[in-house]
Amino acid sequence: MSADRPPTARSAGRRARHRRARFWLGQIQAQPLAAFGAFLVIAWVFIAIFAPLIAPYDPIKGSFHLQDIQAAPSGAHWFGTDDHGRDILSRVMFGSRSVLVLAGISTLAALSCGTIVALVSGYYGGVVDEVLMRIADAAMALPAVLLALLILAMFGPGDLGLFASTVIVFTPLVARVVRSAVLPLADREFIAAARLRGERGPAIMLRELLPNLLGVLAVEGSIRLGYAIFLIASLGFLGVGVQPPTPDWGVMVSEAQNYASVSPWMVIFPALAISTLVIGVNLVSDGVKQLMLSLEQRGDDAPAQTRSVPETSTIPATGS
Amino acid sequence: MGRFLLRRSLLILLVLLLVSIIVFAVTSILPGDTAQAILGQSATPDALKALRQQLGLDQPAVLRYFSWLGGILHGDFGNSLIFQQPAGPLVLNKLGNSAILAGAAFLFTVPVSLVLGILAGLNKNRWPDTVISLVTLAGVAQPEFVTGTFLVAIFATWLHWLPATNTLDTSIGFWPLVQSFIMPVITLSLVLLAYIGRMTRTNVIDVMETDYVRTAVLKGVRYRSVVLRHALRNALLPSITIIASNVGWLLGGIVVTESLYGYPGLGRLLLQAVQQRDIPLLQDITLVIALIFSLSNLLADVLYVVLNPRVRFS
Amino acid sequence: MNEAPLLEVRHLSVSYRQGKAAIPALRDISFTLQAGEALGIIGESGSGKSTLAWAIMRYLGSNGRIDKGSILFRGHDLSRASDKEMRALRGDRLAMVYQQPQAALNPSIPLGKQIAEVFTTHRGIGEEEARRRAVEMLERVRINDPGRVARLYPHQASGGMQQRVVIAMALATEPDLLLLDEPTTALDVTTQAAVLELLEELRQEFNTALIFIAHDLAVITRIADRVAVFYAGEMVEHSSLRDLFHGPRHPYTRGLIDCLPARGSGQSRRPLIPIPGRLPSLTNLPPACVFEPRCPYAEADCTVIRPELKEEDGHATRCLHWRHLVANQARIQATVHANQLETESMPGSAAPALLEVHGIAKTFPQGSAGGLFKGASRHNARVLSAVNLQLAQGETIGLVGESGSGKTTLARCVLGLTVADEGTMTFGSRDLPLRLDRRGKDTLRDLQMVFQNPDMSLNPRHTIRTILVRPIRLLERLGKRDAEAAARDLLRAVNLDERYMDRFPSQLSGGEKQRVAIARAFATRTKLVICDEPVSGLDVSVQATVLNLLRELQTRWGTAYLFISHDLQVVQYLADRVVVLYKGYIAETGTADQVYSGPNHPYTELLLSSVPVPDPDAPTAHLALYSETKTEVLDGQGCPFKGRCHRHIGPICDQVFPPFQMVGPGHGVLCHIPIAELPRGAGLGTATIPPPGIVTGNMEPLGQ
Repeated sequence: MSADRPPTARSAGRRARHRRARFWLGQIQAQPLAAFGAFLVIAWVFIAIFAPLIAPYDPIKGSFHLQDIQAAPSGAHWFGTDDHGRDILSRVMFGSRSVLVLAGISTLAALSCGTIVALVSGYYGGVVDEVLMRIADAAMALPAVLLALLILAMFGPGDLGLFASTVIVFTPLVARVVRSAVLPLADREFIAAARLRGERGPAIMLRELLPNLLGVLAVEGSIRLGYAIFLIASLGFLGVGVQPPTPDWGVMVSEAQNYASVSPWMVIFPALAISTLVIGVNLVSDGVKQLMLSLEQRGDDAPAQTRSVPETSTIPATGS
Repeated sequence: MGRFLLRRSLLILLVLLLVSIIVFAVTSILPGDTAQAILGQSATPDALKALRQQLGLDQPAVLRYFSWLGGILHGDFGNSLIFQQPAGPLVLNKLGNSAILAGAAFLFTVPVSLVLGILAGLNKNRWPDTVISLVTLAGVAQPEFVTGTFLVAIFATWLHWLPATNTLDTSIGFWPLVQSFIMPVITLSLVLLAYIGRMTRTNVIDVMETDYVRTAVLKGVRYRSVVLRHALRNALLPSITIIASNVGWLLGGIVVTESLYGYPGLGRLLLQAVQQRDIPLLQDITLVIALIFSLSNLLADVLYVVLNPRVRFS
Repeated sequence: MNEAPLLEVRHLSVSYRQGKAAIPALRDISFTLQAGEALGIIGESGSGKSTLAWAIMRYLGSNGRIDKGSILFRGHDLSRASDKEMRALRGDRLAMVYQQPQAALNPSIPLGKQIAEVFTTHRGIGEEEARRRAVEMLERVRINDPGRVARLYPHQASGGMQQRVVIAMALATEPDLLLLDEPTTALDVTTQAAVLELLEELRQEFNTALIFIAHDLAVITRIADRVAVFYAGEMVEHSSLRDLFHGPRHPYTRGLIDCLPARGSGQSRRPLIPIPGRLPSLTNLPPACVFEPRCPYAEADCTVIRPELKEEDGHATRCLHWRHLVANQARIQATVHANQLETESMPGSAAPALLEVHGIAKTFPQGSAGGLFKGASRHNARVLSAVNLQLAQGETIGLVGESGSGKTTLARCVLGLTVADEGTMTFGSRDLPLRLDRRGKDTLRDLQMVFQNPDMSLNPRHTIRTILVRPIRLLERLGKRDAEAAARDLLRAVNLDERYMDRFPSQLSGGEKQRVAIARAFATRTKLVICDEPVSGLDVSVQATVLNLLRELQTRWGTAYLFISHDLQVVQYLADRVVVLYKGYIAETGTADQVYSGPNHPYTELLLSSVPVPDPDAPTAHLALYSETKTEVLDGQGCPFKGRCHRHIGPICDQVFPPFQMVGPGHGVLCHIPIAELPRGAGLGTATIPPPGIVTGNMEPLGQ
């Protein structure tokens, strides 16, 4: 065994930071697409946070001057204006706020609820599992949009309704996915070992199972975020989402349908905004999945007892 | 097999029952009164009360639920408040229209996504895979209304190649009719295409890395035979079951797509019902959709059992 | 013989690319193989033995490369062959069988068709004819009712049958060379013995050369003519089988042999001598001799001069000082024997009973919750039937059985992890509740378990500190600082440095992880530790360390063990008493000596004769293949072993449940056969009573 010089606390911390920096740089190199996606997402978050500072115009106040109505993109209005004379660039910038905030918070809430359900269901099994999964089945027996519409019909359109419907729609999905990760874990012997030292259910779920689910949760969370944006934008398009005059991308697209042939920029830019955000999130979620996989395989500093296994087979595609 | 079907059918009934309870509960708590929605803001309290009595809205919720349920089981789906006609035939009619659109989308999606997924999986990390993966990941996994908007903007508004609305009006001739379906079908299918394509790709990759494929290669079997005889039948099995269970996803997509293209289907009807608080209609449509959804899941399970020797012969 | 060799490997070097680095998996491998010869290749993980097989088949994956050297197969250099040429050879002249038979078979294609594919691909014959020949092959691998089996899917066949099908596929075209990579590692002992017997017979019939790769020296002795020992990518010794065992010329080989428990009854329990140190990382190899850091004979020049593989009278070795090693053997053996007496510790016969188990039974419903089909189960699996057991303080009971014997279920019932359906248990003087959640902390403290797979039994997200401190704090009620001190003591007791406290399990090797698991089991002053196959997944040299540790801890703290294993050699090394389980019934119980010398239950006889022994001269009975070809009949009537028994004496076995006959003081056998006619001596290879001659021709009479 190599003899290490006992490291000082400070140099150990510095070395750890170096290692981490190198790790992330390596990741960016290995997954350029995901890095690009992350860049997109971060850009939108930035815009959302600083919208009041960087938007050129007020997104709500319009103009009555004729030349300002449905003006094509120009130096004064990079994205043009809409039928109320409002600057589309500013509206797009402000529109990012509701989408990101809503999607972000509801995804987190759905993740939490879904994980709790999954843990209880997967660990206790039996009747509890059957009942919870049947309820989940019932919730999933309706397409997401439909269920969301129903719930929105109950809460009324607006932020609260959107939040509630997103959480209710996604919790069963998250629960299913996380449960299928919990089941094999619950069979592992370290859970038996925990039971043998008298640990009770909730303690086992929190201390033993949850730390092992972080990878799954990260992947699932990023995927759900994409779907949440999807859903919220679609609901906005259908007119049951965020209410005007608050700028909302979905609403902007739907309102602009009538003017699409005359002023296509009214439709294109909000659509592009949604597009780029969703692409960014999708790329990131793929990247997270790859990252989790490579973290698992990377293993360890343990020498020996590592088998040099041939990398996954490539069957020569030559010949007939 | 028979016992399996029976068990699953019972489960479906249970789920539908739960769904009906959920739907009923949700719609009963609606703020804003149905009677008010019908008579308008200026209605007198007496008129409202009379209407409520007539519609049976003053009964306790549980009773209303059972009478509604009883009606359904007798084939009486109630009347639509907006259209003032029996909801049953109305729903079925629109369902038929939506089925045409969804069916076309399905026929388009399945072969295309499977082929793309297989191509991508077999060429992992080479250029066909990169291209297909990029397209499915980024370009295609968009909300339907976004893709629809882009499609309309490019092909209808700018190029004038395709009409911007979808119609069932047969009087305009066969070919124009088909043309009007092209964009809606593509819009509806793209999300599903991306999803199935990616799943298939993953399955193909996993299967190509299994031991039994390795055995086949080490037996000296040609690549083409390895793929066709050994790999695909195991790789496609999960994809087929996913396709079957995703019929339901299409049902969600029609709401947006029909709205975007002005197609007279179930989705648009649903939207109207929600916006105008047409409770009976809303409940009926929801049940119908839930039923279709459950049936497609049942079909997926049956297919899985039939096609998978490991489960079929135990 | 001056025949041209079938296979000639010359200075072969193979490496794998991982990122930017190249891992040298094989370095300078040279050997020859004659037609019809069997070469055994021994090595632990990372030795490169599997890589050799992949290199010969030219199936190294996208990141493997043959850097240097040649592989001459019948004069053709395989390392330079084109893909087309390889495809023609694979499955026809060259075939391979590897570890997991279930994974090697396509789950969606019937077995017969998979064999037939070899014929259609390489012999160009039609489907019909190919299928007929496939059925013929099934018969040649001794599968009963081959026509029916050909129509089965892989999951409908047992592990042994699956592996025989894979062998049939491989031998269908009568290849010149058959490569086998750990083909029996995943199988039960008796199934393994059956497959080895089969391979030996088929080798003669087909005159196929074999390269048999294993990590288990004992298994190799049953099949190989010559043996090559691999270490960290190099071939360190190569000789005939007998020469290797009687006079090994490399310290690593010597070390491997010393790691293994010797055959024989408990009397000759010499301590196992593990090889110190760890396997080297392939990216950080020692500069000269690759074994030098761990070698007890190393001298100054071993770090400077790289030893070449030198041969003398048919025995090659890669050690500069092998003569020194050979000369010292005698002296070393003597010291070892002298030490052995000190490490023995037998519990006094007056030790009080610690655990008593009465009539424990457990049935599992088949196709439990979640199954699509099987709502109410029609076929319940009765896993344990009225099992009785007594364990004294400080005693070690070895619980022996194969898969399906119920041994793990019994352990879990004792621990309360699985709730038994019937029966009672007492621990100390107190009643032991069947359910875990009804047991108090005092009981939990005294009853712990070491699990089989250390990867699964340690939470990958917890540091070693957490893993050890938590049970101490929960069950001993110590404060944080005291608990940490106790945890450090525990680490020391299992010979691990304190530095490990803050590491994660993924940073430890398999043996180290298992030692942590043992430390955890002993965290409280445990009176009984149940060990469920604690060494099965470990490399040979590491097994020795762990087994020695278990013995040492038992001596120090007087703990009792319930030791579960399928490996009789290991059980015999540790156990005072042995209990043999078959399908949930106790077939035999007695002291280790009694069970090894007999009289035995026929199943015990089968087990004992199936265990491979690292001694090329040991006689072996060939019972396993016969038994494997029979099918079990478990209809709840008569003796549970009746379907497979090679000593079946008539209808009484089929209809009447056998009595538990006491054949000696504290030694019982569940059998109808009169005591005088029960088999003896199987454990020592000196069976005296041959079974009745009702068996088929592939059954050789037992004898000296």
